[in-house]
Amino acid sequence: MRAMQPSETLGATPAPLLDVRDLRVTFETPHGLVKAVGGVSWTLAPGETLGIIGESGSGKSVGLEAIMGLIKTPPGHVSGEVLFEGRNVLTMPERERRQLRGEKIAMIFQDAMSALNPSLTVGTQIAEVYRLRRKCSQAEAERRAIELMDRVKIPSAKTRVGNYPHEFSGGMCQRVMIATALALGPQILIADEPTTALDVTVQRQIMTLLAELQREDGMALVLITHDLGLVAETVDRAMVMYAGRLVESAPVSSLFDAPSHPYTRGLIRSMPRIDGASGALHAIGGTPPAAGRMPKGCAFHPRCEMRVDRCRVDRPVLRPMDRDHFAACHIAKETPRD
Amino acid sequence: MTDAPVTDAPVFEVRDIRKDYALGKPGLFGGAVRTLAAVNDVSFTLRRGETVGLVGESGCGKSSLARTVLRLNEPTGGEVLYHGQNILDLSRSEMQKLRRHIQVVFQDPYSSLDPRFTVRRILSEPWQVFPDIVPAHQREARVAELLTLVGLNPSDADRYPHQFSGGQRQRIGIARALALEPEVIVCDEAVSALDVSVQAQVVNLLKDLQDRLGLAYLFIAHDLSVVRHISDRVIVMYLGQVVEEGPTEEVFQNPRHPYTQALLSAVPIPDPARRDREVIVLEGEVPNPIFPPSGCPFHPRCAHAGDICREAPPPVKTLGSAAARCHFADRLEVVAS
Repeated sequence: MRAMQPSETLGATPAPLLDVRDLRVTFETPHGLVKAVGGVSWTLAPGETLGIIGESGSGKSVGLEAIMGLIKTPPGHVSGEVLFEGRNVLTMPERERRQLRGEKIAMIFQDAMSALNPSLTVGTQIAEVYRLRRKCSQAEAERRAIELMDRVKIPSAKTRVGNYPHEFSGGMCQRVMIATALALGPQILIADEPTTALDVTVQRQIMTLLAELQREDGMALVLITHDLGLVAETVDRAMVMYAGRLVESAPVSSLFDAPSHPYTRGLIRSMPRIDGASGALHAIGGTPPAAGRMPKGCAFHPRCEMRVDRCRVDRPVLRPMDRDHFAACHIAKETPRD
Repeated sequence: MTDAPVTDAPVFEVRDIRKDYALGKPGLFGGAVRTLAAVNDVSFTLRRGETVGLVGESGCGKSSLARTVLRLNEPTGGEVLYHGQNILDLSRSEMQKLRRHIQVVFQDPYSSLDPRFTVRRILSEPWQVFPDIVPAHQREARVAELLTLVGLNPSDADRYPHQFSGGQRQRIGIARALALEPEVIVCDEAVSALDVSVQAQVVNLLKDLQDRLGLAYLFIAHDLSVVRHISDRVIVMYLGQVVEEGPTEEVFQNPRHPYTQALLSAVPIPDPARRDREVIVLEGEVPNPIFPPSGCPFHPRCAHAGDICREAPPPVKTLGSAAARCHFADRLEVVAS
């Protein structure tokens, strides 16, 4: 068995499947308006695997929740544009949006056990999606549920279809959630820390399964994670978020070979490695800013060893460093190319 | 499992420790009670300045082991020696006195600090129980010293836990453990809840404190990369048993037990150039510990299992400086990660 295969992205860049433009998410709090995501733009190509890396509070999950329409207004406010098949998802009527969810874009979460309904059998939960949307018979829906459970490699699906979530392990619950997400054959699967709560050998099983499903269906995958290792092994392209903004975006090999942003470099150097290639850990000093207490200029400047005066005043914007490689830093150097 | 050459008398020694849980009550007709062996004859030694890493997945017994050696759970059998004295023989009050030497840092820096207390009170509380460690008039200065030692500011003494970030709270937890000047600290997933940039700070702090104070750590974690980084020796557990044990580099570079091989192989490597490497994907899941498989508990998931593995519990085989509990440990090809 190989580690995860990158999906093929050769040739000309195809038209994006999802086009996110200047997405902003703010929340009303007792202490005033807090910016969770501050103007983020990115695209996702059909079949592409995109990684979004960030630490707690970086806004990596909130942005995707906003795209899925999972942010309650108020207290949340979402602005910008999210184009799917040329239409802005954010301004769609709720009925159409619900249609889009599941049918075209599906999402799975970290805590599969609590995302499932404890009082319904897993079969019912998988079949329900199918029965409601496809208007098929109970029997047909159940047949389909068993098929999906087979696809996500739940052993003896025929008997386990009648089990409840508490009768499954964490890894099996995640498989059930993946089956539910796949039921309608979405073009995009958003996976928010799908393996963070799982043991490492189970994580390996789930990531192998996702890669297989993606290869078979050609669906695009957005992997939200704090784990640089998972990103390195899974995605085609990675985006690094810090304090609600994109600080770097690059093809995955370029990001790890030549990280341009001091934060990305710091993250890579602060991670101990299983292959022992880490040496002394270079921790990044300080802590990420609390939401609502954003520093002026570059949000990373209080922790940055390379800051210059300009960093305290001007907020840097993403600029090209190399082919398809962008970083939001005043002092990052472009990679010289022949 | 191995007898490393004794360079220094052990501070802390665990011998064949065992923790069984009885399940249910005997039936009306005296039916046997099933037992769950959460910790099954585990032994290890901690020397001054040494870190022993304990790894394994959920349910392998690593946290049970921690609680048992701290005597938070009473073991079913075995010995726990502190400087040669079996702490399991101690009375409650004697044990209380001994606790100052063996401290613990927990995973969750949010729930392990009392939110109503200032940092000063949190750090001085242990001296109410052990007044002799720091004379009253020196306590103020010692609080400042402890805070400086863990990389916080002496002026933080008047703040409350909620005013600190997760990483800073973990530093407070470490300072509290240090207040009693222990020789041994059990770190139970002490850095697992922290973001990677902050985790590195705390790992570096633990190493630094060890160098300065000669602390011995029992470092329990599910993150194998962190364990490799911090440990001198490592113990791998599966279903309550030690399946492999040895010097960290030996175990990580030449894992002998098929479970260790799979476990190490499963960890993602943050280097896209290595994504095409061979990895072992284990089939199935950890079996129910109430009904452990016959013979070798790992055999149903093991690619190398033969008839003997289904029939006989494997012996511990010593291989150089390491040891593995596998019938084929000396014959398997080494799969390095």
